[in-house]
Amino acid sequence: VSHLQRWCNAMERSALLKLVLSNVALDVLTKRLDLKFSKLVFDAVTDSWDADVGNDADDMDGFAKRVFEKVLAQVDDDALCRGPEITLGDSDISRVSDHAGVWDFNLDKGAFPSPDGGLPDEQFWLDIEKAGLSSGQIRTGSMVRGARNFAWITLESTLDDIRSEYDDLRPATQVRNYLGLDHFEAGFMLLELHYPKKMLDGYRVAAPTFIEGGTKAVYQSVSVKGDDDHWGRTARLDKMGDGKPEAVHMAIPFTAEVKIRLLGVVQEAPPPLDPDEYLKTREHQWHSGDDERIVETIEKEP
Amino acid sequence: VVEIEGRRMRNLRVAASLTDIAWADAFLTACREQRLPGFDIPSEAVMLSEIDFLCRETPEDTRASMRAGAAIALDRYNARQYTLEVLRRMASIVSATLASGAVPVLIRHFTALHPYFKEENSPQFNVAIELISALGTFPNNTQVARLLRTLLFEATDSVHFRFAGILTLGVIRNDSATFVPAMNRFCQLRSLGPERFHDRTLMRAIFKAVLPVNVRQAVEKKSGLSEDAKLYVTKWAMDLEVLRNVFAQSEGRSEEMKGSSPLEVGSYAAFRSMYKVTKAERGRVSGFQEKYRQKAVRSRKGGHT
Repeated sequence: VSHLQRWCNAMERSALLKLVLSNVALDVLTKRLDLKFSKLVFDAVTDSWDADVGNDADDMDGFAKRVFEKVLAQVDDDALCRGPEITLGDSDISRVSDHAGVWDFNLDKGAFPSPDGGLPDEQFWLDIEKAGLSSGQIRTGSMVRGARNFAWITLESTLDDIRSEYDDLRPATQVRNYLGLDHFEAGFMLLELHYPKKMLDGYRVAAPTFIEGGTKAVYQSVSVKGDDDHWGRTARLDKMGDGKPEAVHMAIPFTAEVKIRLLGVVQEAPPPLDPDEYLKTREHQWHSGDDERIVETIEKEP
Repeated sequence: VVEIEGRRMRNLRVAASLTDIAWADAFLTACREQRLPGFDIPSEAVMLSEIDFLCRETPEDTRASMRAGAAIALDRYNARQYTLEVLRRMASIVSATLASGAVPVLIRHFTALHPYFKEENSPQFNVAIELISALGTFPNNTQVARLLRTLLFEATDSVHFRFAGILTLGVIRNDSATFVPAMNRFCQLRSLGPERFHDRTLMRAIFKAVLPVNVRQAVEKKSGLSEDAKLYVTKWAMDLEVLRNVFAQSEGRSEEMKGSSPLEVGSYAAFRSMYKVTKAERGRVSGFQEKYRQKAVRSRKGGHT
């Protein structure tokens, strides 16, 4: 049995990690992601798999998860944003971000008042929403990105629809739930970063794959929905199904044309997650035999 | 069923178990490797919010340990061993945890960068801005107040104008009686690059530190406020509705106040005319300003609403 298959077998011990394997299976077996990128990742998983530890660890699933996380954290930029390509056309694009991250990484501190309570308050962001930004107020070299070198986006209309549905201009909790952003717990202040037209011109925008989704239980890989809909779909936290469009792009410069809108403060903890129920909603549900098919597919790739 | 919320509860338990030194190690690792060891934090992008959360939700003794740890970690920073980005991140943590014990070290690191205070394009300059911003979080600290005052009033030739907003706010927060000279100095420096300042957020913070009645006195009387500063302050006082209540009070009690109030009756007209100049300068009228204009017209006709 190969190291890769052992890794799969270790992962499938955990109900949460079966969700991750389901994404891997869909992306690899349907070749939703070019196999050369999948191979890149799984060659690294094989290299990192320490048979001595991996086969005997008390928490083999935890060990497998750590191996996968380590590999994905070091994956080459070239393998990012390689899912089905999305043509944006005239669509307006937005990104949801934590306010402290924008304050810390994107704003030039000389342009703004020092916060009197540690971090800026809601009024601060309302003022920026009203007055906008100028290029002189942006931190030199600041980028739109997450922890890794890419950023998640959705359609602006997704956020507008949520605002309308809840009749709330600042529906942070509902946005968190709809977009599956379970790391934003109660108390997080969220911002919408609305991209100017053409901001993504020249950048590949793609539906996410397991490479971006990583070990998050609330990420799901989905097949292309139609000729003109290559968007991914978020995994909702509050309800099964009915996910909203999502995509990824490589890090891009943060400019003054990005409009910041306050989404408000998340009011409650994420709803509890039942991995078995979640798995039932996945387009491809992990089942025995998938490990062999994945190994076979990866090994065939030169 | 997996309780995702459990992550934060676990983090709070870890926080309670750490000593000052352990916090210092954790913060230093956070700044070097973008992870807070021992804590379950899903992404470096939210680390500052998580630290802010821990600081707000933990008991006072844990909070004190966090602050002490931030001060120790900052003290351990040295330019030969770590990158400037580590120092920048450390300043953000000191600011987010309100670690006042770190202030002397923060000042030391800031002043060590003084050769770059005017070198706008150097990485050291940008870190100096971040450090002075973090220092501005502690306006009631005597050392900070002295430093900010010196830089604003005595040493502005040796610092870049981009420091002006933080210095002005810090000085006024510490002593609101300096409002007039600080605003004069700010407007002078701001004119060198107005696009480098976010006026709305800056002025809202400054107005929070000064009584509205004092703002009104500064723009109405011979307070020493320069013409530029008068226009600038008036414009933002109107935009941010700082003086609405002050005017409402003086209008409602204009007769009884006559001769006894420090706010002269009729000063609204003076203010209005000053505002007209500002309005012309801006070339646009907001809804709120239009309401003020109509109110002024009614007032001229002899009736208040």
